[in-house]
Amino acid sequence: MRRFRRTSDGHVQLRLPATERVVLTSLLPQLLAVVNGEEGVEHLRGRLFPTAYDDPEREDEFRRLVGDDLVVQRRAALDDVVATLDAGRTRGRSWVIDLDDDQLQSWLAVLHDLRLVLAQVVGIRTESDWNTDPETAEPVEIVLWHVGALQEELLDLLLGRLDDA
Amino acid sequence: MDASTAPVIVPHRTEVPDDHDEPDLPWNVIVWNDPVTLMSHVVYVLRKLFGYDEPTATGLMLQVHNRGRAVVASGPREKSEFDVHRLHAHGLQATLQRD
Repeated sequence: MRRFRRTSDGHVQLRLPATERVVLTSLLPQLLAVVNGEEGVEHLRGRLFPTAYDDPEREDEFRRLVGDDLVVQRRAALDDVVATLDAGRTRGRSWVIDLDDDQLQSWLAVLHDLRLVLAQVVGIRTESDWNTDPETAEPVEIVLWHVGALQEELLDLLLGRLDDA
Repeated sequence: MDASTAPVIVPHRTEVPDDHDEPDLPWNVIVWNDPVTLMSHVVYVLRKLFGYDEPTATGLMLQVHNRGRAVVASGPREKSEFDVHRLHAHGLQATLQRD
């Protein structure tokens, strides 16, 4: 079943099974804690805030210039996704909501960040660290696959819209 | 006064401690491979931020994937810093470098 789909009037509708909505909803406060650099999860933060320069002096300069813009943007995207998960309506066993372009961008940002953080938790440092065997997968790995599948689907839709433009 | 005794006028030259102030050399914006980011995410972000067409964005993504890195843009420092910042906001590993 496709989660993200284009409706006939050109909008995008997200349709999530109720269980997936619960899982995603439970992950978001944890992602927020990482974004905020809260105690106990600081080690998961680096991948979300990479360095721009090798030279520490230039890096400091760059950080001063950029300020906390990356944190602000990530919090805003999270707020958007939390809001869309709170809104919407139930249809059968699924939960359905229409998303506008800004909300789609927020979903993309949050799904991507979630994968970056979950991959850190799993300990994926090289491509060979990926476990592809469902028999031996940890729950966190299964969540990581699932979030990846959602992100892939959303990207498919966004790329299709660029082709149409 | 012949040429040999004429005071030599050395044009005043401010010391440039390093290459901070050389505006002419372009800064390369580099995207690095990472084992988590989806290939389609890289393609989408390059198309969205830089307006590349599909073959160009896919070519750059494959360079990142196969060679570990690709120069996705280059220009003056300020513009390149802006590009790196936007790439960071989209969750890509990007740096600035002058080769």
